[in-house]
Amino acid sequence: MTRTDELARAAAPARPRWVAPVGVLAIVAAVVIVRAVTSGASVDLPSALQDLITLAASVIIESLPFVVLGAVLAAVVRIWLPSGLLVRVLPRNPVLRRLAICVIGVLLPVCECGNVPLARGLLVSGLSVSESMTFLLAAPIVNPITILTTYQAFGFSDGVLIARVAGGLGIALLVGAVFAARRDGMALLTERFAAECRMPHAHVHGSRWTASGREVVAELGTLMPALFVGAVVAAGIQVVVPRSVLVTLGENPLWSVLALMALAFVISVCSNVDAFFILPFASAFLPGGVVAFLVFGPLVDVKMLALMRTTFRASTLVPLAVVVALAALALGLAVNLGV
Amino acid sequence: MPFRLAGAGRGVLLVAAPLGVTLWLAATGRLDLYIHPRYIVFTVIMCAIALVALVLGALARGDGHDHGLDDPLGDPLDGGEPVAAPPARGRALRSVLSGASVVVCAALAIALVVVPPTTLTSATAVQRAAAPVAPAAGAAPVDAHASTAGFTLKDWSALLAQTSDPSFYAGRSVDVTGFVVAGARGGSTFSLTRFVVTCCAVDAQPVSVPVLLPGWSDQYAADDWLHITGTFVADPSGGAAPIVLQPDSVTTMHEPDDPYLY
Repeated sequence: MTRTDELARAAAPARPRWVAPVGVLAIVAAVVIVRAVTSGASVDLPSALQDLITLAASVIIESLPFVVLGAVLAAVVRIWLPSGLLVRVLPRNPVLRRLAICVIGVLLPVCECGNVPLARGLLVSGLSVSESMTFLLAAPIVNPITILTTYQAFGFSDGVLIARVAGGLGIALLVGAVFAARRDGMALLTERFAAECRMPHAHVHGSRWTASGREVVAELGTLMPALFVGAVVAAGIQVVVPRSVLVTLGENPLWSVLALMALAFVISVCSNVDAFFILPFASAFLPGGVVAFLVFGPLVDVKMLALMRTTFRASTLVPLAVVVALAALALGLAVNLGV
Repeated sequence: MPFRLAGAGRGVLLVAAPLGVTLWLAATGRLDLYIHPRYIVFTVIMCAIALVALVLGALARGDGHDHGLDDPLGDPLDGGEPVAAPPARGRALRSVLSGASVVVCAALAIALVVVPPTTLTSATAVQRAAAPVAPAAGAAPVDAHASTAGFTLKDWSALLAQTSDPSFYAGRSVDVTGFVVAGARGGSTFSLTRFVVTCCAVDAQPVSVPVLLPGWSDQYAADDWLHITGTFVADPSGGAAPIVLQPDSVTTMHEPDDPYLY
């Protein structure tokens, strides 16, 4: 906020405290009313456009609760946990420290979109960029719901479950180690978010509850535009690219892996349930392709890239995506070739 | 400041639009058009929490504790707009991308609120038709004496993938509901189709059974919902599908309240 803004704000008459909350509720109520009024309307859109809207809406509605949960957990870390607690209790050895951070993911049943705000909260609370990145990549795969659903879908057949959990963990630690080598971790972040991280730990004005609400809304305000863009791109690609293009590649050890990685990148399905999604494909694709799908998708897909762009520079995300893709490809090939 | 006000309004709308729409869909029982029913309670609870957070966040703004950097309702769309001014070329590209993001977000927010909620169409069913449906996605293997009473389209589709022995289907009556997807073999056959959802509409996969009904396209169009009773028989025309559904009765109907199968 500039000095001029501050002066203008100081000179403006104080609004009653209830105006802003009532305004927010009025906006939500207006959305509900317009939605109710237009629900019976006859809108004759081309099928492809209609399906694009339905798919994009589905991505947003499915992701919204997880993003909110992640934002709430981030607010808990930033507002309610004692300042620096996480930094103090974690091991000092960098490798053990990153391993311990992966374990945090085991305790949190949050899928990848919820982990973005939580990782941002961990960064602001003092974790390094590479440590937060390790958490961001490990948590969607090692969380208990993901492990449970993968087990329900595949059991221990073809080593899919073991390869997914061990591979995801390994890739997260690998990426963490790669980016830990950077001396200035803050250079990996967007300037705006790096500036936020450099600020002294926020002192809470007034109630912690209102401060928590402010943090949650700040995260949602940052992530929702990214989610919207990611949803539209993911839906658009799904409408345009026929599924048959990918399915015909299933029997080749290399192409089966690449095809399912491409599918994972496009569909951006939640890691908690992606095992059920890919299960029917298991009959047409080699198991390495399935493993690559289950490892690559939660870490790098259209929606996640859009969400991660709120925090990391594009020049960070490109090498991150390349490292993850190569590692997932190697893992998939290793499974296919029985290495 | 106009930009800040515009940003604040934009942020509120991009949270409020899906929030309000989700709550309305849940209240009217249509949320399952987008997500699996098992997530509805969780989704509604998290939306309620988001609503409370919006109110609390607005109260915090009222307290005047805005540090400027993290304007809660008005972050730039790419989240990475630099605090320091970038070079002119980068600024131009950033402006274009930011403008495109604004258009995309606004268009989708408006569509969410205005376009009536509906299921995926037959266009997506055709587009995804190559996706395999393994028996594992449907029922467990069925032995020759097992009952098929109450089988849905998903069950029959999985069964057709398991066996194409006509004698297995003899005497088994079929009672299924689905929408029309034009068959690849021209006039005599169409696919009666439903989408199976594991998490949300994004992962919807079509399951179908071939229906033998010469001249069907004179009476029905793609996306029409039909209720069909009949029996499975060996395809007399010797087409690609060895077993087809021969209808005894075909009834047009409105889209059911629960259009997806799970």
